[in-house]
Amino acid sequence: MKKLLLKIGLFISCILAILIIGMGLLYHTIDNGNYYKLNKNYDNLVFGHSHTECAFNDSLIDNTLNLSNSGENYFYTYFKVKKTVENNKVKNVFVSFTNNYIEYSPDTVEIWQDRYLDKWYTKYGAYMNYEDASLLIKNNPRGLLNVQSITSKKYLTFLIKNKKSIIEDLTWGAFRYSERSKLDSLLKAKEVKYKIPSFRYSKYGLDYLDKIIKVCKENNAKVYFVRSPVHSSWERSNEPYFQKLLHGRYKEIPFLDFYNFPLPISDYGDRSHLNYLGAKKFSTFFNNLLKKDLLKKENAQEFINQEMNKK
Amino acid sequence: MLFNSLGYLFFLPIVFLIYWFLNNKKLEYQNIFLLAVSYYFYSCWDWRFLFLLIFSTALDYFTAIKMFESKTNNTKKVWFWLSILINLGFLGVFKYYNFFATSFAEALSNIGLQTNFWTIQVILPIGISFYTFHGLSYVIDIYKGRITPERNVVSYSLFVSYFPLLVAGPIERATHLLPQIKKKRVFNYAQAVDGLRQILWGLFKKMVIADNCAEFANMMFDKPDGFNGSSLFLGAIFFAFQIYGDFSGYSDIALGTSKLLGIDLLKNFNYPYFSRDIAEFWRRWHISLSSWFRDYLYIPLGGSKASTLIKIRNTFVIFIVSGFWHGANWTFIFWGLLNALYIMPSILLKTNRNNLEIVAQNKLFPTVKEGFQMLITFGLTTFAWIFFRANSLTDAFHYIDRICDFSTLSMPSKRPSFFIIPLLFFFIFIEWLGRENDFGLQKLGLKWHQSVRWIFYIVLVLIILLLTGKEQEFIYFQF
Repeated sequence: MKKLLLKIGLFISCILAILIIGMGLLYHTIDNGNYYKLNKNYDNLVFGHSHTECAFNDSLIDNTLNLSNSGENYFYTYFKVKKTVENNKVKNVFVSFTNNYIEYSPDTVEIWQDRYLDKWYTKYGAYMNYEDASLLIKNNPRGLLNVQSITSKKYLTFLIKNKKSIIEDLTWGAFRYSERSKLDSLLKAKEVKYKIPSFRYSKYGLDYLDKIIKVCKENNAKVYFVRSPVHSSWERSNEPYFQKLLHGRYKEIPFLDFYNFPLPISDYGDRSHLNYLGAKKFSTFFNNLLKKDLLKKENAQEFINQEMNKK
Repeated sequence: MLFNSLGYLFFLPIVFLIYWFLNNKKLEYQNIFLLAVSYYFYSCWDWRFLFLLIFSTALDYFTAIKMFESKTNNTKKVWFWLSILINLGFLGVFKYYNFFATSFAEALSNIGLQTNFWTIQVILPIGISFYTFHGLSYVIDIYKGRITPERNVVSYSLFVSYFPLLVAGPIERATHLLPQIKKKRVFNYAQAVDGLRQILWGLFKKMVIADNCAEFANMMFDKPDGFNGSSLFLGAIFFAFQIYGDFSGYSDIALGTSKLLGIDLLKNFNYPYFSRDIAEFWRRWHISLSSWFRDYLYIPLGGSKASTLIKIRNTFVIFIVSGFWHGANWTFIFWGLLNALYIMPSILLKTNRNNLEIVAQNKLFPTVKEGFQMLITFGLTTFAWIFFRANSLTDAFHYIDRICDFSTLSMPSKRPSFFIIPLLFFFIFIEWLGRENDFGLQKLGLKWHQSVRWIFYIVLVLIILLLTGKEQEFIYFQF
């Protein structure tokens, strides 16, 4: 029995040593490799979750690339922003800033739950330092351990296939061409009254939003918050808290609010997402604003409102 | 708790250490401990069904004693049928009631009668088909006078609930397992190492082969219209490897775990895809179930010694019941029927016992004829698996219809991950080399230098950890 236990102990130690060294090397290679160059120089990058993903059709906006991904918490977006702005000359970074992403609930769900680890850690795991990873270790150590193999597999496949760009190969984000058109039926349906829990600000999400701002500043990219068009029926009872953040913690960050952008019901996929029709109208409008030097205006929001009123 | 989960990685060593520590005490303590951890293992899925398991165990325990003590044949029969009916009743309610209710309602609606049968919304208790069959074989053996009832309630309960085989077999026999439970186990280094090797090979089969094949096969079977014929053809082959890797991998882990505890379980797979005909395939696939049906259904019905017509009837009965055992769906029944048709020529021509030994025994390569026979058998089996995997018969025929298309002659529109093909070749190669042993890895490398052997095992573990597919539940858990 002793002999067996000793041998098992030795065998497991060998495996652990190889794994730790091997994965360390793999993650290091991915982190420090030259895989983050965009295929051309973009002036503007759009980051965020499904709202910007569905609204910014980057093929209609000059010099702009949309790297949004639905359900992506700022915690993960930070690594994407960091690698992209550090390796490319980017002038402006538009970050989705919406009512649903200032609350605490996305923190608890979208950062460390298994399915989100599967989705995001497998893309950005290599860029996390101990502080970042410790949040995941603390809240879902088992999930984090489980996801290592699929992450390594993805990175190994990337290296073996000798691909050039992680951003493209591991699909870091893009405009989503949505054909959904469910708002009409949603409005007709009996409204479900959700019990809204007492409001609590996001902790980790907003901490990492701060980091996004910091890393952009360090790389001379100007950050803008954007709230893309949503239908007026969309739940946003936390608006006072939202405004408080804008005028407090983020008062230095220009906020471009398209909440009231006029669109017919048929241009929405649902209450908070545009479909391809809405995206086309909004992106064309946004491109015109950029052409009219929106980003140089003293009061950008006033200019946006004036332009929206003309529509 | 899955065998390939982190939980089991902690569970097994703890059980192993305490179990052998208790070996110095009384055997009874060791068995009580095994029974307790078996119940804990089962309750990790749903503790409520533990009561069903305990009830089923108690029922068979008491009816067996009552049967044995019956003074008259009639009393014996009453106890026997009481046990059989309640056991099958549970299986019927949990597994088959909804199927019968909806099928009957559909049949009535076809003749214009609209009915609305009550259906039950309850999940299938995991392993119910396996432990029910354990109990049934025990009760039948007592009734037939083959064995005497077990009086020790712990030993009997452990026979039914022993955790390595509790949820997906192998389906054990009292004559094989009970004597081992009642005998003091002695730690055997060689047996424990053999068990570890079998667990390693089982994990490779499940996590690397089955789970990776599952990703591609699921894609094909879920949306066959999205892919061309050759992709679907590949999908069916991948499912054949998935189900083999999944179930035989599970069995290997179960057998290996049990060897660590000093108990040998019945072999469940014996390289079925190297079979040269369907009869041989069925002697090598899910052996504990096939032999169960042979001993408790086929032979009592007359077996192969009756007239040709009876033999044909018995073959159809056993395969259809076997299909139905797998699940309450017409797809499984059709799968059973198809296999009965496959095996029929060899039954009629009396060639079903032609290939009793493993192919190319003591040789490295098979003959061309054997290779061709294996290919044909594998093809027929894979074709039948389409019915087993599909959600409905309509889906299965649609899948086959899409394969019977000119697009099957073109390159697949969707290809599996680039590393799965070399892994499949490696898997088949190791299985082929080890086909005369209990499992593929059993004797491989035993003559190598220890360091080389260790490197091989370490590489295997790394492959399991790094190239594992997306975790899929063991297919046979649903049965």
